[in-house]
Amino acid sequence: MPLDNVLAVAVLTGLFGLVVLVVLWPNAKHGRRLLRRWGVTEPSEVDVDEAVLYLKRRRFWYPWLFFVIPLLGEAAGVGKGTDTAVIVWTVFLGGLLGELLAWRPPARRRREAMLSHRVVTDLVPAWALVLLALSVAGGVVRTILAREWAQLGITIGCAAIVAAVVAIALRRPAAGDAAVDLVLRARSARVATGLAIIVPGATVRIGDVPSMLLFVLSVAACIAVVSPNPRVAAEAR
Amino acid sequence: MTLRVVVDAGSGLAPWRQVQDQIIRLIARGSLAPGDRLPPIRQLARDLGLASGTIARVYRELETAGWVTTARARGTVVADSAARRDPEALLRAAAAEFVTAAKELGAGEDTAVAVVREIYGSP
Repeated sequence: MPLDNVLAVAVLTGLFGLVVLVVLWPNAKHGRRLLRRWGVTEPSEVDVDEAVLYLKRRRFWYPWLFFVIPLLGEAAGVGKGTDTAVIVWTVFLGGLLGELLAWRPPARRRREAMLSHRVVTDLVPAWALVLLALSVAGGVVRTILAREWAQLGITIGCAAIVAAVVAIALRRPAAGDAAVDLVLRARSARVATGLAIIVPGATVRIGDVPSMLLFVLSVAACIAVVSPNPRVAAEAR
Repeated sequence: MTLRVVVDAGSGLAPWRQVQDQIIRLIARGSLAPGDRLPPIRQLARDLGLASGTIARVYRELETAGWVTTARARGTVVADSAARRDPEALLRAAAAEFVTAAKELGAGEDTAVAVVREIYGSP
Protein backbone atom coordinates (compact mmCIF):
# COMPACT_ATOMS: atom_id res chain seq x y z
CA MET A 1 0.00 0.00 0.00
CA PRO A 2 1.57 3.33 -1.07
CA LEU A 3 2.22 5.75 1.75
CA ASP A 4 0.46 8.67 0.04
CA ASN A 5 -2.73 6.67 -0.08
CA VAL A 6 -5.28 8.51 2.05
CA LEU A 7 -6.46 5.37 3.78
CA ALA A 8 -2.90 4.46 4.71
CA VAL A 9 -2.38 7.92 6.16
CA ALA A 10 -5.66 7.63 8.04
CA VAL A 11 -4.63 4.26 9.48
CA LEU A 12 -1.24 5.64 10.51
CA THR A 13 -2.75 8.70 12.18
CA GLY A 14 -5.37 6.44 13.79
CA LEU A 15 -2.58 4.27 15.24
CA PHE A 16 -0.84 7.43 16.40
CA GLY A 17 -4.13 8.45 18.06
CA LEU A 18 -4.29 5.05 19.77
CA VAL A 19 -0.76 5.54 21.14
CA VAL A 20 -1.75 9.04 22.32
CA LEU A 21 -4.84 7.55 23.96
CA VAL A 22 -2.80 4.92 25.83
CA VAL A 23 -0.25 7.51 26.97
CA LEU A 24 -2.80 10.18 27.90
CA TRP A 25 -5.56 7.91 29.25
CA PRO A 26 -6.57 9.91 32.31
CA ASN A 27 -6.22 8.69 35.87
CA ALA A 28 -6.69 10.33 39.27
CA LYS A 29 -3.36 12.15 38.94
CA HIS A 30 -4.45 13.82 35.68
CA GLY A 31 -7.83 14.74 37.15
CA ARG A 32 -6.26 16.26 40.27
CA ARG A 33 -3.73 18.21 38.21
CA LEU A 34 -6.46 19.62 35.95
CA LEU A 35 -8.51 20.84 38.92
CA ARG A 36 -5.52 22.34 40.74
CA ARG A 37 -4.45 24.27 37.64
CA TRP A 38 -7.92 25.78 37.47
CA GLY A 39 -7.93 26.83 41.10
CA VAL A 40 -9.58 23.89 42.89
CA THR A 41 -6.72 23.59 45.38
CA GLU A 42 -7.95 20.64 47.44
CA PRO A 43 -10.25 18.52 45.29
CA SER A 44 -12.14 15.66 46.96
CA GLU A 45 -12.09 12.13 45.55
CA VAL A 46 -15.54 12.76 44.03
CA ASP A 47 -14.25 15.95 42.35
CA VAL A 48 -11.25 14.08 40.95
CA ASP A 49 -13.50 11.29 39.63
CA GLU A 50 -15.63 13.93 37.91
CA ALA A 51 -12.56 15.49 36.27
CA VAL A 52 -11.27 12.07 35.13
CA LEU A 53 -14.67 11.24 33.61
CA TYR A 54 -14.59 14.62 31.86
CA LEU A 55 -11.16 13.85 30.33
CA LYS A 56 -12.12 10.29 29.37
CA ARG A 57 -15.21 11.51 27.53
CA ARG A 58 -12.93 13.55 25.25
CA ARG A 59 -9.82 11.41 24.89
CA PHE A 60 -11.80 8.27 24.08
CA TRP A 61 -12.56 9.81 20.66
CA TYR A 62 -9.00 10.73 19.72
CA PRO A 63 -7.96 7.52 17.84
CA TRP A 64 -11.25 7.43 15.92
CA LEU A 65 -10.99 11.10 15.00
CA PHE A 66 -7.31 10.75 14.03
CA PHE A 67 -8.48 8.00 11.67
CA VAL A 68 -11.56 9.75 10.25
CA ILE A 69 -10.38 13.38 9.88
CA PRO A 70 -7.85 12.79 7.01
CA LEU A 71 -10.57 10.87 5.16
CA LEU A 72 -13.10 13.67 5.74
CA GLY A 73 -10.54 16.27 4.62
CA GLU A 74 -9.91 14.38 1.40
CA ALA A 75 -13.64 13.91 0.80
CA ALA A 76 -14.23 17.65 1.36
CA GLY A 77 -11.51 18.52 -1.14
CA VAL A 78 -9.16 20.25 1.33
CA GLY A 79 -6.52 17.52 1.31
CA LYS A 80 -5.40 15.22 4.11
CA GLY A 81 -4.36 18.20 6.18
CA THR A 82 -1.11 18.76 8.05
CA ASP A 83 -0.35 16.86 11.24
CA THR A 84 -1.07 20.04 13.22
CA ALA A 85 -4.45 20.49 11.52
CA VAL A 86 -5.40 16.87 12.28
CA ILE A 87 -4.45 17.34 15.95
CA VAL A 88 -6.39 20.62 16.19
CA TRP A 89 -9.52 19.15 14.63
CA THR A 90 -9.24 16.01 16.77
CA VAL A 91 -9.17 18.02 20.01
CA PHE A 92 -11.89 20.29 18.65
CA LEU A 93 -14.31 17.50 17.70
CA GLY A 94 -13.33 15.44 20.77
CA GLY A 95 -14.45 18.39 22.89
CA LEU A 96 -17.76 18.59 21.05
CA LEU A 97 -18.43 14.85 21.45
CA GLY A 98 -17.41 15.01 25.12
CA GLU A 99 -19.86 17.84 25.76
CA LEU A 100 -22.61 15.96 23.93
CA LEU A 101 -22.00 12.92 26.17
CA ALA A 102 -22.17 15.16 29.26
CA TRP A 103 -25.63 16.34 28.16
CA ARG A 104 -27.24 13.23 29.67
CA PRO A 105 -29.10 13.79 32.97
CA PRO A 106 -26.91 13.06 36.03
CA ALA A 107 -27.46 9.72 37.74
CA ARG A 108 -26.04 10.77 41.13
CA ARG A 109 -28.37 10.88 44.14
CA ARG A 110 -26.96 14.20 45.37
CA ARG A 111 -26.98 17.02 42.83
CA GLU A 112 -25.86 20.59 43.31
CA ALA A 113 -26.51 23.80 41.37
CA MET A 114 -25.39 27.38 41.68
CA LEU A 115 -28.21 29.81 42.34
CA SER A 116 -27.09 32.36 39.79
CA HIS A 117 -27.84 33.16 36.18
CA ARG A 118 -25.01 31.63 34.12
CA VAL A 119 -23.98 33.54 30.99
CA VAL A 120 -21.35 32.99 28.26
CA THR A 121 -18.87 35.42 29.81
CA ASP A 122 -18.84 33.30 32.99
CA LEU A 123 -17.09 30.66 30.87
CA VAL A 124 -15.19 32.64 28.25
CA PRO A 125 -13.94 36.19 28.93
CA ALA A 126 -15.30 38.96 26.70
CA TRP A 127 -11.83 39.71 25.25
CA ALA A 128 -11.53 36.10 24.07
CA LEU A 129 -14.92 36.34 22.37
CA VAL A 130 -13.76 39.54 20.62
CA LEU A 131 -10.59 37.75 19.43
CA LEU A 132 -12.72 34.86 18.19
CA ALA A 133 -15.03 37.21 16.27
CA LEU A 134 -12.04 39.02 14.72
CA SER A 135 -10.34 35.76 13.77
CA VAL A 136 -13.43 34.20 12.19
CA ALA A 137 -14.45 37.42 10.41
CA GLY A 138 -10.89 37.85 9.09
CA GLY A 139 -10.81 34.23 7.93
CA VAL A 140 -14.17 34.56 6.14
CA VAL A 141 -13.15 37.79 4.34
CA ARG A 142 -9.74 36.40 3.34
CA THR A 143 -11.11 33.11 1.97
CA ILE A 144 -13.85 34.93 0.02
CA LEU A 145 -11.33 37.35 -1.52
CA ALA A 146 -8.98 34.46 -2.35
CA ARG A 147 -11.95 32.35 -3.61
CA GLU A 148 -10.83 29.46 -1.38
CA TRP A 149 -14.28 27.95 -0.91
CA ALA A 150 -13.16 24.81 0.89
CA GLN A 151 -11.20 26.92 3.44
CA LEU A 152 -14.27 29.16 3.79
CA GLY A 153 -16.28 26.06 4.67
CA ILE A 154 -13.68 25.08 7.29
CA THR A 155 -13.74 28.57 8.85
CA ILE A 156 -17.55 28.66 9.03
CA GLY A 157 -17.64 25.05 10.20
CA CYS A 158 -15.24 25.71 13.06
CA ALA A 159 -17.27 28.79 14.08
CA ALA A 160 -20.39 26.60 14.16
CA ILE A 161 -18.61 23.94 16.26
CA VAL A 162 -17.31 26.46 18.81
CA ALA A 163 -20.81 27.94 19.07
CA ALA A 164 -22.20 24.46 19.72
CA VAL A 165 -19.53 23.59 22.32
CA VAL A 166 -20.02 26.86 24.23
CA ALA A 167 -23.82 26.53 24.09
CA ILE A 168 -23.70 22.96 25.42
CA ALA A 169 -21.08 23.84 28.07
CA LEU A 170 -23.42 26.60 29.24
CA ARG A 171 -26.56 24.45 29.33
CA ARG A 172 -25.56 20.87 30.14
CA PRO A 173 -26.43 19.33 33.53
CA ALA A 174 -24.11 20.14 36.43
CA ALA A 175 -21.16 17.84 37.17
CA GLY A 176 -20.28 17.51 40.86
CA ASP A 177 -19.35 20.37 43.17
CA ALA A 178 -20.32 23.87 41.93
CA ALA A 179 -16.69 25.04 41.58
CA VAL A 180 -15.62 21.86 39.74
CA ASP A 181 -18.67 22.14 37.52
CA LEU A 182 -17.83 25.72 36.54
CA VAL A 183 -14.17 24.82 35.93
CA LEU A 184 -15.07 21.95 33.59
CA ARG A 185 -17.60 24.06 31.70
CA ALA A 186 -15.07 26.91 31.34
CA ARG A 187 -12.30 24.57 30.19
CA SER A 188 -14.49 23.09 27.43
CA ALA A 189 -15.63 26.50 26.23
CA ARG A 190 -12.14 28.03 26.33
CA VAL A 191 -10.37 25.15 24.57
CA ALA A 192 -12.96 25.30 21.76
CA THR A 193 -12.68 29.10 21.56
CA GLY A 194 -8.86 28.99 21.50
CA LEU A 195 -8.77 26.38 18.74
CA ALA A 196 -11.36 28.29 16.72
CA ILE A 197 -9.15 31.38 16.95
CA ILE A 198 -6.14 29.48 15.62
CA VAL A 199 -7.89 27.71 12.69
CA PRO A 200 -8.35 30.70 10.31
CA GLY A 201 -4.71 31.78 10.88
CA ALA A 202 -3.46 28.20 10.39
CA THR A 203 -5.19 27.82 7.01
CA VAL A 204 -3.17 30.70 5.51
CA ARG A 205 -0.27 29.48 3.38
CA ILE A 206 2.78 30.89 5.17
CA GLY A 207 5.01 32.54 2.60
CA ASP A 208 5.62 36.08 3.76
CA VAL A 209 6.10 38.08 6.95
CA PRO A 210 2.43 39.20 7.39
CA SER A 211 1.09 35.63 7.09
CA MET A 212 3.77 34.39 9.51
CA LEU A 213 2.90 37.21 11.92
CA LEU A 214 -0.81 36.36 11.64
CA PHE A 215 -0.08 32.73 12.47
CA VAL A 216 2.13 33.61 15.46
CA LEU A 217 -0.48 36.06 16.77
CA SER A 218 -3.27 33.50 16.47
CA VAL A 219 -1.15 30.90 18.30
CA ALA A 220 -0.41 33.44 21.07
CA ALA A 221 -4.11 34.31 21.32
CA CYS A 222 -5.02 30.61 21.48
CA ILE A 223 -2.53 29.99 24.31
CA ALA A 224 -3.84 33.01 26.23
CA VAL A 225 -7.45 31.81 25.93
CA VAL A 226 -6.80 28.13 26.67
CA SER A 227 -4.44 28.64 29.63
CA PRO A 228 -5.96 27.56 32.96
CA ASN A 229 -7.35 30.43 35.00
CA PRO A 230 -7.47 29.74 38.78
CA ARG A 231 -9.93 32.62 39.25
CA VAL A 232 -12.72 30.56 37.63
CA ALA A 233 -12.95 28.27 40.66
CA ALA A 234 -12.61 31.22 43.05
CA GLU A 235 -15.67 32.85 41.46
CA ALA A 236 -17.76 29.79 42.30
CA ARG A 237 -16.65 29.65 45.95
CA MET B 1 -19.90 33.80 47.72
CA THR B 2 -21.92 31.75 45.30
CA LEU B 3 -25.17 30.36 46.67
CA ARG B 4 -26.08 26.78 45.92
CA VAL B 5 -29.03 24.46 46.15
CA VAL B 6 -28.67 20.74 46.66
CA VAL B 7 -31.12 17.97 45.81
CA ASP B 8 -30.64 14.61 47.48
CA ALA B 9 -32.73 11.92 45.82
CA GLY B 10 -32.36 9.73 48.92
CA SER B 11 -33.61 12.27 51.46
CA GLY B 12 -37.24 11.16 51.32
CA LEU B 13 -38.42 14.72 50.68
CA ALA B 14 -39.77 15.60 47.24
CA PRO B 15 -37.11 17.39 45.11
CA TRP B 16 -39.34 20.44 44.51
CA ARG B 17 -39.81 20.76 48.26
CA GLN B 18 -36.06 20.53 48.91
CA VAL B 19 -35.39 23.32 46.41
CA GLN B 20 -38.22 25.50 47.71
CA ASP B 21 -37.14 25.11 51.36
CA GLN B 22 -33.52 26.02 50.56
CA ILE B 23 -34.52 29.13 48.60
CA ILE B 24 -36.83 30.26 51.41
CA ARG B 25 -34.03 29.75 53.95
CA LEU B 26 -31.60 31.77 51.82
CA ILE B 27 -34.10 34.64 51.56
CA ALA B 28 -35.07 34.47 55.24
CA ARG B 29 -31.48 34.74 56.46
CA GLY B 30 -30.67 37.53 53.99
CA SER B 31 -28.30 35.60 51.72
CA LEU B 32 -30.70 36.39 48.87
CA ALA B 33 -31.69 40.06 48.99
CA PRO B 34 -34.73 41.74 47.40
CA GLY B 35 -34.09 42.22 43.69
CA ASP B 36 -31.63 39.30 43.44
CA ARG B 37 -32.28 37.26 40.35
CA LEU B 38 -32.88 33.52 40.47
CA PRO B 39 -31.56 31.35 37.63
CA PRO B 40 -33.88 30.60 34.71
CA ILE B 41 -36.15 27.59 35.21
CA ARG B 42 -34.46 25.54 32.48
CA GLN B 43 -30.93 26.20 33.78
CA LEU B 44 -31.76 25.18 37.35
CA ALA B 45 -33.75 22.15 36.16
CA ARG B 46 -30.91 20.90 33.95
CA ASP B 47 -28.26 21.50 36.63
CA LEU B 48 -30.25 19.54 39.19
CA GLY B 49 -31.35 16.83 36.76
CA LEU B 50 -35.02 17.66 37.34
CA ALA B 51 -37.89 18.33 34.95
CA SER B 52 -38.51 21.98 34.04
CA GLY B 53 -42.05 21.58 35.40
CA THR B 54 -40.62 20.74 38.84
CA ILE B 55 -38.67 24.00 39.06
CA ALA B 56 -41.59 25.91 37.51
CA ARG B 57 -43.70 24.58 40.39
CA VAL B 58 -41.12 25.77 42.93
CA TYR B 59 -41.09 29.27 41.45
CA ARG B 60 -44.90 29.31 41.26
CA GLU B 61 -45.23 28.30 44.92
CA LEU B 62 -42.64 30.90 45.96
CA GLU B 63 -44.47 33.57 43.97
CA THR B 64 -47.83 32.62 45.48
CA ALA B 65 -46.30 32.86 48.96
CA GLY B 66 -44.85 36.29 48.12
CA TRP B 67 -41.17 35.32 48.24
CA VAL B 68 -40.42 36.11 44.62
CA THR B 69 -41.93 38.00 41.72
CA THR B 70 -41.72 37.13 38.06
CA ALA B 71 -41.47 39.74 35.34
CA ARG B 72 -40.83 38.98 31.68
CA ALA B 73 -37.83 41.30 31.37
CA ARG B 74 -35.99 40.43 34.60
CA GLY B 75 -37.07 36.86 35.11
CA THR B 76 -37.71 35.65 38.67
CA VAL B 77 -36.38 37.97 41.38
CA VAL B 78 -36.63 38.04 45.18
CA ALA B 79 -39.62 40.19 46.13
CA ASP B 80 -39.19 43.42 48.11
CA SER B 81 -41.79 42.19 50.61
CA ALA B 82 -39.74 39.04 51.30
CA ALA B 83 -37.23 41.03 53.37
CA ARG B 84 -39.97 42.27 55.70
CA ARG B 85 -40.98 38.79 56.80
CA ASP B 86 -41.09 38.32 60.56
CA PRO B 87 -38.42 35.70 61.45
CA GLU B 88 -40.56 34.38 64.33
CA ALA B 89 -43.51 33.86 61.98
CA LEU B 90 -41.21 31.91 59.67
CA LEU B 91 -40.06 29.79 62.59
CA ARG B 92 -43.67 29.10 63.58
CA ALA B 93 -44.53 28.07 60.02
CA ALA B 94 -41.52 25.71 59.92
CA ALA B 95 -42.46 24.30 63.34
CA ALA B 96 -46.04 23.72 62.21
CA GLU B 97 -44.76 21.74 59.22
CA PHE B 98 -42.45 19.72 61.46
CA VAL B 99 -45.29 18.91 63.87
CA THR B 100 -47.49 17.79 60.98
CA ALA B 101 -44.71 15.50 59.71
CA ALA B 102 -44.08 14.14 63.23
CA LYS B 103 -47.78 13.34 63.69
CA GLU B 104 -47.87 11.59 60.33
CA LEU B 105 -44.95 9.45 61.47
CA GLY B 106 -46.77 8.63 64.72
CA ALA B 107 -44.27 10.44 66.94
CA GLY B 108 -45.50 11.93 70.21
CA GLU B 109 -44.69 15.42 71.52
CA ASP B 110 -41.88 14.19 73.77
CA THR B 111 -40.19 12.26 70.97
CA ALA B 112 -40.49 15.19 68.53
CA VAL B 113 -39.08 17.67 71.06
CA ALA B 114 -36.26 15.26 71.95
CA VAL B 115 -35.34 14.98 68.25
CA VAL B 116 -35.32 18.79 67.91
CA ARG B 117 -33.11 19.13 71.01
CA GLU B 118 -30.73 16.48 69.71
CA ILE B 119 -30.41 18.16 66.27
CA TYR B 120 -30.21 21.63 67.81
CA GLY B 121 -27.35 20.52 70.02
CA SER B 122 -25.40 18.81 67.28
CA PRO B 123 -22.70 20.87 65.52
